[in-house]
Amino acid sequence: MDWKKVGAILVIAFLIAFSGCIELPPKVEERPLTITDDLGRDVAIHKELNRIVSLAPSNTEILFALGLGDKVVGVTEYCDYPPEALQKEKIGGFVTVSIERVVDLNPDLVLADAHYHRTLVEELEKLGLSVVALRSDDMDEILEDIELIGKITGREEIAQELTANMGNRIKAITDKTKNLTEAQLPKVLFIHELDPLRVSGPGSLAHILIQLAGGHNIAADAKAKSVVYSSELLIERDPDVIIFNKYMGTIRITVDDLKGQPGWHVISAVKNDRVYGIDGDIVSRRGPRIVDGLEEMAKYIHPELFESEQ
Amino acid sequence: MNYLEKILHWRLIVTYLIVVLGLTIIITATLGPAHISPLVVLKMLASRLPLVDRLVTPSWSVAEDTIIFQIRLPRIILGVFVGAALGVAGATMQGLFKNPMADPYIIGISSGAALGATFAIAFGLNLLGIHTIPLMAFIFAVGAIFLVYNIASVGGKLPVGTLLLAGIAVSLFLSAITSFMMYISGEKLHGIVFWLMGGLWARSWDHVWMAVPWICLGSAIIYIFARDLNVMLLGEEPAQHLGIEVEILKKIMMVSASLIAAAAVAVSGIIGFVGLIIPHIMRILVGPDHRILLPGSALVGGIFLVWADTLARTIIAPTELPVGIITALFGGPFFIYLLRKRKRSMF
Repeated sequence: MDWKKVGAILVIAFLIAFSGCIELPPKVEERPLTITDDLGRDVAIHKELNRIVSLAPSNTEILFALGLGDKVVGVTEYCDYPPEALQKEKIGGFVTVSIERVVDLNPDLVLADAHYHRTLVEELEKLGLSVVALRSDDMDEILEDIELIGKITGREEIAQELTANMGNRIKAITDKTKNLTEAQLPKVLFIHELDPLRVSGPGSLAHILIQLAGGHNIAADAKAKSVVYSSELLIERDPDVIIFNKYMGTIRITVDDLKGQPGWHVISAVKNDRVYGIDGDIVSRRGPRIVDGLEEMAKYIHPELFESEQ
Repeated sequence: MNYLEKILHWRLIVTYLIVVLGLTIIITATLGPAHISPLVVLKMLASRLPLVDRLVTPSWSVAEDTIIFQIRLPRIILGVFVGAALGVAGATMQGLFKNPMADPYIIGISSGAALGATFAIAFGLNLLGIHTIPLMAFIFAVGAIFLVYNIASVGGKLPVGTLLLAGIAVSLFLSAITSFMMYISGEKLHGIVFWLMGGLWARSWDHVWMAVPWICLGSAIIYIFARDLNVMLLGEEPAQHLGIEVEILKKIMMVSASLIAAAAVAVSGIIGFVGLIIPHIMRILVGPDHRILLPGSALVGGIFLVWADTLARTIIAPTELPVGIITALFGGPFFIYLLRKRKRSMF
């Protein structure tokens, strides 16, 4: 056998295999840029982005936070933050996106939701649009997605500044809550709706926020992220703090409505006036405001630790 | 079997079913996701009864008292009445239409109620607190019935065939509006879907007081005309010849059955299966005479729904299920079993 040949082949193979490592990391302006989105798809971004369509309120909030508001040409009917987003062209609802309108806006990039838009992503791609689908299930992933959008849009520095700031604010909370003992965690319940009683279960963002804010979600053993919860268990488990979505799906509900639910007068949270309404968007949208939600929740759950911060 | 024996036999059946219902209420009151021992629950129940209340010394917490008397018990009692209402309304509709496919919702009650509830939920109406959705559902259900009734009545007569078709047409039309409203309701969709699935969750004594008067009144009226309903099974013309005011009877029965079904739907959403299957099961078990079929369907409907709801609230605790899932899941196979076992005419 000709060992020289074998050696040469090995050297060539080695060079080919590691050629990717030798290449310098692409600069912000360098295109095409290939990224992997939250559906695991590799997407190549070919040019500078000037027309972006957002198919989710969280994406819209991130884009505006990165100073890309003027490049957003289409949003959903639910994109109501920041208020400027209301002026943008509507492409339909969140689940009920009008493909025609998206195409009509001739976007360079469509930012979809990896959870709700699985099939839509394929359809839009077939129509020749470049689509990036995002979905974050916890705080780290939210920060990663913000950085990813920053990378795609050439706003890496602003994105990193934003996520660093968010990370610091999260850390300021968790530094105080992480050393609490099990007994120091108040029992918390996050309520979405009263009739039927729908609450946040494990895996939901509200559940994660409760944990980070140093609380124990009494619905942690529920079977899904959003569940109808047993009213009698609510009374038996006796939450110390109840936080509810002020703009509940069904009806706009007040603290008094909640306290007036039959039998709820025996619950500690009601007896001690620790029932708080919160803007549901800031604890469910996977964008920069999630930290506002965390800070507000922390104040409700541990007023002794966070009240003075305001 | 002569007439007296028959009456005696029926009384026995009814007595037996009342005992079973009583036991059902007591046993299901001891079952639930909250950890309260059955013995304590029995003591709690006894403490609220006259005569025996002095024998019991309270040994339970305020929370336990609240759980049993403000959450579990109203829900069980409401289950009894809703189940009974659906049983009676179903039996009446099937007798009136002489159609085994008839159920309490057949002439547009469910689609009317659904539209009313959807309106209330989608627009966030909150004029009367927790009464808003039941009231809207009730008003729309009654409205749907009158619409169907007026479409179908021709020169003072109410041909059942036309009534059935008018009911289906109105149902489809109203369902289309409901679907449209659901489609555009966005995040409120959750509430609407849960309402449509039917459930006795988050129910209180208020809901019991809302529905029970209507259910009792309507059922009483229907029971008074039970014999006439029997004659109707012969056909409208023979019934007329036997001295029944067929048109008046039809109207009274229609309005009464609709009223109790509307009251039930208003507080519990659309619980399927009970109103269709329970009367059939009772027909197989006690025969087609409405004098026993109606009370039988009421009692068994109540018993069945309470047990189904007990499963719904305990089976995957702390999560609750819509009771409609349970009624169909357990009622369906049981009904098929009965059909196979006794292959005889249903009417």
